[in-house]
Amino acid sequence: MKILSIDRAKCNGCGACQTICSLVKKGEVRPSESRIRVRRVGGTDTQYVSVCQHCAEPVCVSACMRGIIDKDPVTGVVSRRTEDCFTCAACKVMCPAGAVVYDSDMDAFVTCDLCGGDPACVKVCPTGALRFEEPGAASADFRNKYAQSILGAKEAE
Amino acid sequence: MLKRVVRYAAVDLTNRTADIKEIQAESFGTWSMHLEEMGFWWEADASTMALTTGVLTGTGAPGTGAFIWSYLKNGKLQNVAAEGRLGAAMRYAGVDVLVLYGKSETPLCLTIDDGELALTEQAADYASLLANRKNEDAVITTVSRKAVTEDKYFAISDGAVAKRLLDKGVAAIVAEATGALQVADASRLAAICTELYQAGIASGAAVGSSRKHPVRFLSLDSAADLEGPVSYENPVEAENAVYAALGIIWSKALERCDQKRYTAELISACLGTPCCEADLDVLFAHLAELQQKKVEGGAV
Repeated sequence: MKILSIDRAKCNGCGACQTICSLVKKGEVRPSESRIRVRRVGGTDTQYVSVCQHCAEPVCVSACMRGIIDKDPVTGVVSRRTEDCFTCAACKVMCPAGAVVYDSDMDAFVTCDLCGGDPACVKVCPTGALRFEEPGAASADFRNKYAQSILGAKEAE
Repeated sequence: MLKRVVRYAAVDLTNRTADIKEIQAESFGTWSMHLEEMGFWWEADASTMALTTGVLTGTGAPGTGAFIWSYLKNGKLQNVAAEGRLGAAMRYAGVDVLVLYGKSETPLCLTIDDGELALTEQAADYASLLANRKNEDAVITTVSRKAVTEDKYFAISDGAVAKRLLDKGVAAIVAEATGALQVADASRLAAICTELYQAGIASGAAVGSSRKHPVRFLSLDSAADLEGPVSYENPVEAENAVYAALGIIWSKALERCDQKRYTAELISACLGTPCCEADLDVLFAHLAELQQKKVEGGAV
């Protein structure tokens, strides 16, 4: 299963992912309810991207009081039956990635659903900070960069 | 054909009141409004300042963080382009144009939130405003003699604009960006935006990634230096100022794209009315003509 990997060292906070997500998922430009967010909790110098990581053991599944969140055993995608959400916010509080967002049109909490396997945000990310790839590829890339930084070699492009 | 409904906020700094109205503006509601539909502001008060967003501001395409400051100098309207989150945040909060008239004797902070404006005397330093904002998407701009600065690191005006704002008693502007911008054809707009971002990526000219150099909102090539001084640079060359009036600053990474065609397509997707390159030629000629117009400004 492919994952949406984020290389936070490459993110420059342009916000393209946020605006395209809201256009695609909500049909309007509403970055504050986008499922991928550039978070500015501490201001511009501490901004970071948060989006659902479809965790291997998602805390939101057990936190959900109505049991409407499931992890697909084949694809690994964590999804939810939003029509049954009663906005208790337990998933939002428990999410370690801060990735749960309130959708005012649905009156429900939502998360990234990977756009059915073709995430829009990845296509507009100008720096390559967002990638949709196999977990092995993402992991290998990060391990390679870490090893090279330790060894003092130039970072591979 | 070139019409746009503009939500403008008239802010009376002397009496600390604000009023939002809608007008049907010609020429897509660019700075032409300030000389035509809204010329009465400058005729009544020569020190009036305006912050104008374009029809494309905040819509998502690369470079659509553009907005324009306008003021009267020696009888002519001066337009200073800027790129950042403020214009977009204003539109999400329900305001397309901000008109500031009158003068406050004490420094004020103007807050725009979900169609409501408020003028308060709260502390206008960045740290206090950051601590008191309602949500983390809020855009905080502070005014010093040197520049208007957005989110602490991005200069969004030159000293002339900043000094005029301070003289009018405006020390800070906070836009709580939790609202939405409706567009006519979201799917088409998303497709065009994706095409443009991919063209920018393919050009190899988009600014590199670095957490020490965050870029301006929706920009491919304008970054701040977290460790360097904050200073304003005009983001547009003279011939591209008209695009900035429409709310888009074309990146160098997209110089091979047919900018006029894409601008027309973006406008069509946003407004739902047909717009072609010939329409833009008419508009650009009109704006160039207006730039020579003199305004009879009234007493301050």
